Amino acid sequence: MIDVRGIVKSFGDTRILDEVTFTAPSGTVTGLLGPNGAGKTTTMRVLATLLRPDEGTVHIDGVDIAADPMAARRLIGLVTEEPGLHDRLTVREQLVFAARAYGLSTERARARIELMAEYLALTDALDTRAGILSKGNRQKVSLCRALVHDPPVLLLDEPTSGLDVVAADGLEALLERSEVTGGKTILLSTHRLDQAERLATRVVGIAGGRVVVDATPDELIAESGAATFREAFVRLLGEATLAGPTR
Amino acid sequence: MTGGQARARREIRAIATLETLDGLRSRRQLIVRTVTPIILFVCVLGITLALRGADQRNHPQAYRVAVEGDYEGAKTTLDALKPDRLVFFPASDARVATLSGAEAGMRVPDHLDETLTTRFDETAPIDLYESTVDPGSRAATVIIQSAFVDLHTTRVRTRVNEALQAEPSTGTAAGGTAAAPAPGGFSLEVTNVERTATGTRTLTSQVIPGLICLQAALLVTGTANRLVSRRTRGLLITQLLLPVSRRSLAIAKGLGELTIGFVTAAPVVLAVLAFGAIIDLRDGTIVDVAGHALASAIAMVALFAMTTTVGVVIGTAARTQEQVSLATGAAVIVAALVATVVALGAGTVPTAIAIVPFAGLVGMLREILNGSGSVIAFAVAVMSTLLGAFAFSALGGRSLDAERMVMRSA
Repeated sequence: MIDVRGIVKSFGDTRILDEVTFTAPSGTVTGLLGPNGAGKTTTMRVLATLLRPDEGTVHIDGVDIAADPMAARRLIGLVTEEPGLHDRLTVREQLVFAARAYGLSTERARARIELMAEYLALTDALDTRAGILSKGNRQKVSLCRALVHDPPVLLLDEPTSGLDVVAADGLEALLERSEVTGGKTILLSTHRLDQAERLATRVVGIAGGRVVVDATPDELIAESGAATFREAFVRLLGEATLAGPTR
Repeated sequence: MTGGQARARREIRAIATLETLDGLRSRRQLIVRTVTPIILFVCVLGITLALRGADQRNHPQAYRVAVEGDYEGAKTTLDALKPDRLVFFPASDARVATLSGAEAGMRVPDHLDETLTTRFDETAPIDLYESTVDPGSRAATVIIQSAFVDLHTTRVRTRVNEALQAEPSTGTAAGGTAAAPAPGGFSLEVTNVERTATGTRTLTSQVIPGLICLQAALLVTGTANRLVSRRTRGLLITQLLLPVSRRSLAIAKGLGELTIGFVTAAPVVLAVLAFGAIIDLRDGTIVDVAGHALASAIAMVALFAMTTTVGVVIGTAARTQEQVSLATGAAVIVAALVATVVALGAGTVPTAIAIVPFAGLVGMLREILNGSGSVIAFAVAVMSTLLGAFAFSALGGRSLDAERMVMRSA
């Protein structure tokens, strides 16, 4: 479970996150939605221990990330918009090094890589240099790397950004497979409402650094009186934005 | 070793291997990093020689001449050789002295004064040593030769005058009772010390530290640029997510760069070491060869370690590519200065410089390879350089802060 309580983060005089509080229940996919500049990526970076919150606490599976960031990192797998791959190394090499860095034995690393590559349809690409892979396959490698140490929590920060429709659909289909993500707590940051509706069981909407929505899609539709999830979300987010800037 | 330490070592090894493999697979980078120091070295060597010549042309002075052999037995002759232009001093090896400070060298036979003044039937062989590439050295040997000729001419003329003055009173010169002894002759042979085994060894002792120095400088540039490139491509953020301490990450990245540095430096350094070994074997022993190779390897490790950590600090602390270029450019200039002044400069390197990280080690390696260095001073220089590397690695670990990286990427 991811438990975020009142995190505040400012860069200089600009307050990017303003007492953000939400919970991502275990074994579910929680969508983190919001327009560009809402604070989604900053929230993800705080959760991934890349940024320190000025205030507030974050617990990942009970581990306080500020008190023990190393332990927290072992519980997290992160996929970002930019895959961050070494172009001259093969997919297998990158996955092996990631597994070793997470302390997996050679045998366990090999088994996990073979298994994840099979689930993610990467087996044929394992011995290919990452530099010549398509953007979609690079993102699949990034997902494979995030999963190689079998973390209980998966943070997906705009994982399909820059992918074409087919590649994005393929990645979403993979995220739906229980062999790949089953039992994991997933926080999916996206600005694509259709993606959130497809994958998330709960959505947290952020606007201007504050949480303005925290509900299931069905609750959202019922509360807003809108016909669709998209309509409900846009209406609520629009009201929150019109309520005034929070920075 | 504790479990935590073992894990840290495993993590460091994994990341370092990743960095090394990635670097070694870039053929273009390998070629650039191998060839650039050679080009840079040729430039530095050319500038050094040009500066030496310019110094001699612009500053007329009394030339320092090292004298090997019976110095006391030649004192009167030497004092008479253009004292305003030539300053003589005793030396155990005039060739080495010519290569390391003196403008010229000279080897005199025993009792030169006596031979030149009293032994008409003898010829004193005098060897002159010059560094032919150095205009000052060439000038010094020409002045010595002309001074000897002048001295001899004066003595012969004096002797002739004495003989002529004695002749009218006695009737025949042969019948004279108090005629002065006739001056002996001399031969002068000039040797270019750079063409001797000693000269070659001295040159090698300058070239090896100079080349290593410039190779090390290139590590600063390579490391810093690769770190910035990784930061902009999201690779650094990915690594910062690993459950590895920042210090371990800095060390691992540094080790990767260090390995690449060794690989790129290896062809040139091995070639120069082999050349030095051939010279050592000619007039030394296998122990000399092994000792010099070991000293070069130790110095290379320490120098490369220090410049790699400097590269890590620059690569992580700089905000922009422009800042990296400025900082690494400054580092290369400093290294080139060290190569010019310490590795290739005239004169011996003062032992006190051993406590200065980097420059001290370049200087002490030169002295060791030249056969005139102290092992203790070399060890001090290695320690000071490694301490410098340690300090920079700590600084690199601190500046490899995720928040800073994220902010700089943004």
